[in-house]
Amino acid sequence: MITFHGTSSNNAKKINSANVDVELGGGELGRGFYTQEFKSEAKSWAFNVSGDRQQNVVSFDTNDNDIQNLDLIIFDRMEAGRHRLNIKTQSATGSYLFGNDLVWAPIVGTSKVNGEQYKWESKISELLLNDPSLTTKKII
Amino acid sequence: MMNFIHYLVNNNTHPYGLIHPSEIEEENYRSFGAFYIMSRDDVVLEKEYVFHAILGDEIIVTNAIQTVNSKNVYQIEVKEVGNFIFYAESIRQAPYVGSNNYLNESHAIKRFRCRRQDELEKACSDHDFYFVGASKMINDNFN
Repeated sequence: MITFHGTSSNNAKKINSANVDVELGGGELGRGFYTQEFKSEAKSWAFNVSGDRQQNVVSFDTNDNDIQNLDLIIFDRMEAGRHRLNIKTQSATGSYLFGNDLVWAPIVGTSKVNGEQYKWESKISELLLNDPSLTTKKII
Repeated sequence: MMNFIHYLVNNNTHPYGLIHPSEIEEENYRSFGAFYIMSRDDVVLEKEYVFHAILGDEIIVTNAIQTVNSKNVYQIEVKEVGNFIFYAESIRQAPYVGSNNYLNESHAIKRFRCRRQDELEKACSDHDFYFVGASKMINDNFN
């Protein structure tokens, strides 16, 4: 599975050199490192956050079997929306944990779904993303 | 600025308001943006919208032109990249709650959505092309 993380070109360099930290980021599904399904959308986000036009996305190519071996939780749109509301109400976007390695859900922050998001939550998933023998990272 | 396509995200601290990504206060907060048509009045779609994009290392301006037969369908022709069909999708109206003057008292009346996500992905891979919409980053580049 290939997923994308949009950011500044400086951060992309740091992340590419084995520096994913699942404890640093937050989002609509709480604390974790977020990637998404579509490269073009990761690029749009990266530019609008950093102003950097190129080298602003890191792609993660992770073996499907390794992902299936994670403690994985998958939500549909309604479930993800419910969790999002709960997390937002608690002001816990920077702290909420599901207790799983990877949370896989539709993006629900916008009014309609635009692709999938992946929240890498645990140290196990962090190791998976940072181990070059398990995940191929590339700045694009 | 009302005839621009804007890139906005949900505000983490407002129930359904929108802001520019650069206005997110929480450090390292990951949101997901979308393209919106903004208005200060009722839902009246323009025949043409300016839609900013990146091609290689350049910011370019494209034009989304309303098709003759469908008022919510727009075509964008990007030379040497391809043609894209976008449509103005109905949404619950959402106010802009950030601090940029040019969007004050405006609200999103439609989401501007590509009919074929795979074509955007292909253009991104083949031509290093992607849409970015109007935002603070565009203003900073032109001011």
